[in-house]
Parts: sequence; C-alpha cells; structure tokens
Amino acid sequence: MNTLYVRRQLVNALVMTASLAATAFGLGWLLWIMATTLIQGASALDLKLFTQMTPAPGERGGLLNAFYGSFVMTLIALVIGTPLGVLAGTFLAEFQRKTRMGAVIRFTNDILLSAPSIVIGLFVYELVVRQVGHFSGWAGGLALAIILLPVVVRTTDEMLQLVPGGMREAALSLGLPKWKVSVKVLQRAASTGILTGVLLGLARISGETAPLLFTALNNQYWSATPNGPMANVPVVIFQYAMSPYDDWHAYAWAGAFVMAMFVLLLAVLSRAVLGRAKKHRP
Amino acid sequence: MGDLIDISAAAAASPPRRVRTPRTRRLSDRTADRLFLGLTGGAAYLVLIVLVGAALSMAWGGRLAFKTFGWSFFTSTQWDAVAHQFSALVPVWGTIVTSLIAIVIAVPVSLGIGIFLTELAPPWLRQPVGTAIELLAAIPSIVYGMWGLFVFVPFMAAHIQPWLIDHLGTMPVIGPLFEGAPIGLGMLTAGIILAIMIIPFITAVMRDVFLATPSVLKESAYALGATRWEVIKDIVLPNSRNAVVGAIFLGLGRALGETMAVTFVLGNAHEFKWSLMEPGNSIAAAIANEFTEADSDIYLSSLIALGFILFVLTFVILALARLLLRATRRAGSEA
Amino acid sequence: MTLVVDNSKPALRVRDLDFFYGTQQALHAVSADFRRGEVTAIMGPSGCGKSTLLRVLNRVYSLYPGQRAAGEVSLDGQNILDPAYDLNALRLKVGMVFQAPTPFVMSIFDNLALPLTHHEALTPSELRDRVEAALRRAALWEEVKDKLKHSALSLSGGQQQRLCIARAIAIEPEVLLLDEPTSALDPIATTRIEELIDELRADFTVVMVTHNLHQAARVSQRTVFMYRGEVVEQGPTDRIFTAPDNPRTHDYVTGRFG
Repeated sequence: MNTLYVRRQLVNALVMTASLAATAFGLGWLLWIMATTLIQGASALDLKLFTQMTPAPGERGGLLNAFYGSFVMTLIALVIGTPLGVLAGTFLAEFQRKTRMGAVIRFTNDILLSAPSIVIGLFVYELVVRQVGHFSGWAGGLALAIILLPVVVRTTDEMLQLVPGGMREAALSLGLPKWKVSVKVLQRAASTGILTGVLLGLARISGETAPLLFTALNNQYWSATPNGPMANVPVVIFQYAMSPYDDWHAYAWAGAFVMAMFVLLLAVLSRAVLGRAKKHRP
Repeated sequence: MGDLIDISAAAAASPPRRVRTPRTRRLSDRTADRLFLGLTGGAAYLVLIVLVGAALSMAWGGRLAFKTFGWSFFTSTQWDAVAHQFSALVPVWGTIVTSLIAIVIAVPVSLGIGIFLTELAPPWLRQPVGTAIELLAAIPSIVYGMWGLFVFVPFMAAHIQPWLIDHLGTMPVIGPLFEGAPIGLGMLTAGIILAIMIIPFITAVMRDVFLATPSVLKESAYALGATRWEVIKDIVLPNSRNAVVGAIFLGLGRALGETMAVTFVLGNAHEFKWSLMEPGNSIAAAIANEFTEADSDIYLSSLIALGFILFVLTFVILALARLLLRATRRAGSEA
Repeated sequence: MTLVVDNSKPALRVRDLDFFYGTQQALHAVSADFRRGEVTAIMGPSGCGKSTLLRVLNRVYSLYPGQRAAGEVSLDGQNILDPAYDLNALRLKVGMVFQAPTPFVMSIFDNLALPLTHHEALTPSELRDRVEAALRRAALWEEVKDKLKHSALSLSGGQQQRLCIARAIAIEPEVLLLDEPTSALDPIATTRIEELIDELRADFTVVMVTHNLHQAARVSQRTVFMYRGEVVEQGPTDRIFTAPDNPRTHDYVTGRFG
C-alpha cells in the first residue's frame, strides 16, 4: 500500500515535471526564433529599407516597392474580404442560427479557415491569372481576401451570437426592420469583437507567402498600380533567402523582422481589443 | 389602490396623441429586409462557392496530368521535367511523413503545455504563458522557413543528426530511417519545424477541454485521493477523447498544407528515400518551388494535380477534425 | 380639449389563445382584456405562461422558428395574429420593455433617436424636443440632460431601464408591455420605476408581467392570474387580492404557493 502510494506520487511528479519541460520546450522555440529574427533583422535594418527599391545582387537598396505592394494587396483584401465576411457572418448569426444550411455553411467556412493557403493561390491562379493571361496585384489581393474571408465570417457569427437576445428583441419591439436592427444595433454592439476578427485576419494575411507566389508573383521595380505583377514583402523574402547572395540574405532578414514585428503587434493588439470587448459587453 | 374616477380623470387630462408624420422611403421596410436577406445570404453562399470552386478549378487544371499518367501518377516515383514524366508518390510521401513526425512530437508537448496551463502554473502565469504559446501560431510561416534554413538546419547538421546517424542509424528495422550524411535538410528537420507550428493549435484545444471538464468530476476524484496526473489520465482525457482526437486532426490538417516553412528545409529532391535525413519533398513545397518554372502544360498540370491531391487530403482530415470537435462542443454545451 | 376614455371597451382583446413551443403547448385557450388608462398585471408562479402571453401581444416570439400562436388577439379591431399583419406596424403600436435593461451600444440620445427617426420625418430640433419629452416622461431627463452624448452603458441599471422605457414611449405606442421590468433592479430603482408606471397609465394601455405579488397590488388596477398556461381568474386588483373567486387564486395571493 505504502509503496503503491509512493509510486503514484512519483509518477505524478514525473508527469508534472514533463509538463513543465514541455512548456519550456515550446517557449524555447519562440525565444530562439524571435531572438534570431531580432538580431539578424535589426543589424540589417536601416532607413533606406523604406525609401529605396529592391536591389540586384551586390547593389544597395531597400524594400520600398515590396512594402508598398504588400500594403496595396492587403488593402484590396480588406476592402473585399471584410464586408463580405461581415455580411456572411450576419446571415449565419441572424437567419441561420440552428438550421441545417447554417451548419453546412459554418462547416465549409471552418474548412476554408484551415485550408492550405497554397491551394487558395492555385485557385486564384486558375480563376484570374490564367484567364487574364498575366500575374497581377489584383489576383494577389483576391487570394488574400479569400484567406481573410473565413476569419471574418467566423468572428462576426460568433460575436453576433454573443449579443444578448434581449437587445435583438428590444430593437425589433421598436418596430425597426430587421436590417436596421442588424446593422445599427447588433453589429454595433458586436463591433469590437468583429474588429478583433478583422485584426486577426489581417495578421494572418500579412505573413502569407504561398498564395502570392503565383498570383502577384514579384516585381523588382516600382509598380504604382496592381494591374501587373507586384512586389510584396513575403515573396521578396522568399526569393532573397533562397538566393546564394549574403547581402540578399540580409535584406530578407530585415523584411522578415519588420513583417514579424507587424504581425506580432497585430496579434497582441487584437487580444487587447478582445479583452476590452469582453469587459464592456452589456 | 386607485379607483376608477381617478383613472379617467388622469386619462382625460392627458394630451391628445401626437399625429405622426411618417417618413417616406424609396424602399419600404419589407423590401429593404428582403434585400438584406439576399445580400447577406449571397455573401454566405459565396463561402460554399469558393470551396467548391477551388476543388473544381484544381481538378480541371490537373486533368491533363491525370489523363496522361493515369494511375501511375500515384504509384510512380518519377519526376523528370525534361522527359515530361511526373508523378505524385514522392511529394505525397514527404507530405505525410513530415506531418506524422510533427504530430508525434507536437501531441505530447501540447498535452504537457495544456496540463501546465490548467493544472500546474500559478494563476498569474497562465495568461502570459498561454499568450506566448499562441504567438507561435502568429509568426509568419516564411519566418519559420528562413529561421529553419539559416539557423535550425546547421544546428541539426552539427548536433542532432550525427548523433542520430551514429546511434539509431545502426539499429535494425528503424536503421534505414536514420541513414545518410548529416546535411541538416530533410524530412526530420521539416517535421520538427511543423511540430512547433502546430503546437499552439493543439494546445489551445487541450487547454479548452481541460477547462471544460466538469469540476464535480475532478473534485470527486481528488476527494478519493487521486493525484493530478491520475485525474487527467482517468477523468479528463477519457471525458474529452473526441476533442483531443479532433485537435490532433486539426494540427495534422495544418501540417499537411504548410508550405513556406517546409519549402526552405526539405531540399526539393524528387528521389524516393526511406531516410528522414535525406533531402525530400512535399506537395506544397514542390508547387512553391517549381510553379513559376513550369515551362510546359503537362508540368503545370502535374503541379496543379498535386494541389488537388493536397486539397482532398486536407479536406478529409479537416472535415474529420471539425466533426469531432463539433460533437464535443455540442455535448459540452448540453452538459 | 378632452379625450374621452371608454374604459369599458378593451384596447387589446385576447380570445382563445393557444401557444406552442414546438410541440409543447404553453398557453391553453387564454382569454383576457387589457384596457386603456389601466395597468393590468399578469401574475402567477414561474412557468405559468405569463411572459409567454406578453410575448404574443407584440409577436416578438415570431423571431424564433418553432414558436407559434393560434387564436385571436385584436387591436383596433384587427387580429394581430393574422400572418398578413405588418409586424413593424404592430410593434410601433405595441412597445415592450424587458426584464434586463437593453440599452443599445450607442449614446443616450441615439438610443431614442434611432427609433424616432426611423418612424417619423423630424427636423433636428423636433427630434431634440421629442427626445427630451420622452426622457422627461420617463423621469430621466434631469439625470442625463448634460450627458446625452455619453454611452447608454454608462448609466446605472435603474437609469438604463428608464431609458428603455423612454425609448419605448418615444414613438408613442398605444400599448406598453412590461416584462418583469424591475426584477433586475435594487429596491430604490424599483420604487422609481413603479411610480413611473403609475404615471404612464394615463397615456398608454400598460400590461405588466410580475412574479411579485406586492408589486401587482401596488401598481395595477386589474390583475390576471395565470396557472399552468391558463387564466384562472381576472378582475379588479382590489377584488383579486381581497376576495378572489377561485380557491387557487386565494392560495396564491395569500402566499400558500408560488
């Protein structure tokens, strides 16, 4: 009896130690990766990064055209993906709460949410690039919009369902039409939560590389409009990092550093916003 | 209580009801509502259309490869751009093997972190550690890839792989998996990086199901003198088996489709090798590496066909994951 | 100008009303009258169907699939259960205030302006006047007149509930439904709301659900007592509380069960 007790306590201590070790293991990677990006990126960082174009091997330059391209394509994605996602999420939360169709769309949306982004890239390649005949920033923005869409759909759906039913009933009891109840009362009540979804989605598409490889491609030069191939940070990092040139590697690290900081900032920001949303829920 | 005379007096004194000037609208409320339903519904059905459209467009784009090579596309290991001979076996093999390595590493680690976050850590530590683990999922995959190529691959080549080759490479049965030169690239390295990337996803579900276990169950087990681990092993895990399996499938689905992180460290080799130390390939890596170089219709079609296979593979895994996770969520909400 | 109020003719007439949650029947052949110039209290033990009855009167239940009502509820001579009856028009005539305060996530002013501007063509100054008038009638004006642009969520629970009453009466409904309007409030806030309800009956047909016997006795002129989805007894509140016909009503008002 006594030895059994000791053994059980020993096993327990062992497992608890292992769980501590697992946590240290997980955090260790985060520290290692962040430290590398920070050190390598910070040493390659200078102001020219934001004022000059991507250089040829051996030359000096910056990533201005890549930053600009990423900005434009992210903007396209936000402009397309956010309204569609909010509308679709509203449909699910307000009209399809417990229906079979609602379940099917939610299921599909969840699949799309975790679907490999490279597949989305191939889809947009087939849909746009092959039809139009050339790569373009528009195609890249569309691919990012498709990745953003399910994130916004899901958060909008969930956040609208969290709005107290009494608020919906009260608004309808004032004789307001359903669309006005949804847009002016419920979406407004859920707006902080929906914003979190958009921020999370933004964080996700800011680092996406795979879907841009065969939609926006890349462009060594300045392109003001998204009508043709367009430079963007992730693909530039990919090409520079895979190259044999050390100075290109440095630019890749600088780009990765800026991108990682931006994405982590968004991740932290969206959590803060979400925390506030939960606290201020009526 | 008020008597009737009072009431009528009050009513008589009240001002006459206001005459309303109703607003005139171009759209009646009823029409506007119908429009709203159509608009939101259209957006929601778009989600369905995108998913089906993605599947169809890749099946269409890959039809040339499927028609040309038939079943040998799945059984042959040949990948020769010059001879226009392509097949899926090596990338499919690499995709599955790297993902399985990732699962084998990530599941116990996530279980450990889940236990730490719910049972072991003092309350003030849970939030920051939990957030830090979640941040692993926020790091862009291309950063994993770069870090993998420039930092982790040399580390593997210098410290891990020589030891594995010396000690495991000589063993019977599993030996062939650990043979070769310690060059750092390959499926083992890719699998480890994938493991790091999917840890936050599996951990999140583990943590949620641990927290969702009815505390009555846990407390009565503790009252009987069970240790923490015994409570987890005998109460929490059996109680949430579906969710845990669902989480593993979700992680697997992520790993199967991950592109940039593995593209950097796999080595883009198309020869079939048993060893996890040799350069290999995966579906996503092959597409990412070669798509813009594909100079013939059959080459391009073969890559899109690979994409179709990846889509089907991840769809099945993710669908299973969602079904398992949904079933538990429903059971949990009813409890 | 004098307005003749005919108390004998009910503003809202319920006849043979059955109500179903899916296959479960919650109301059985309910008949009741609600008159102008009076507060009618619907009371009964929990689960007796009193809230369900209230939710039929402006058809807010029709938000939920599976809930349905059969029978007749006539307002101004028309059966509001008729599927062709315009729901928004019905709710313009029959306002409702809920158990928990339901302020919208917007400013105090906008909470009232949203329904007002939807239903009526108002100039900005007319709108301001109407908002002020409604807040005054809800006895909230003095407390909020300097912070109309503040979020409605910054108000206390009792203030929020008075805001909801102001919002409901701003659009001048004929009937005001109150679903246990004080059950989420403290005693002081409850007293203020009860005083307010007493003033409102001059202008509106007030129907109030309450599980609080004393509240029914204090505020209402007529009482409907329900039990297990049926109306057991209805009549002047004085009589219901002092000399009820039905022994079950007697047991309830004397606190034998509930």
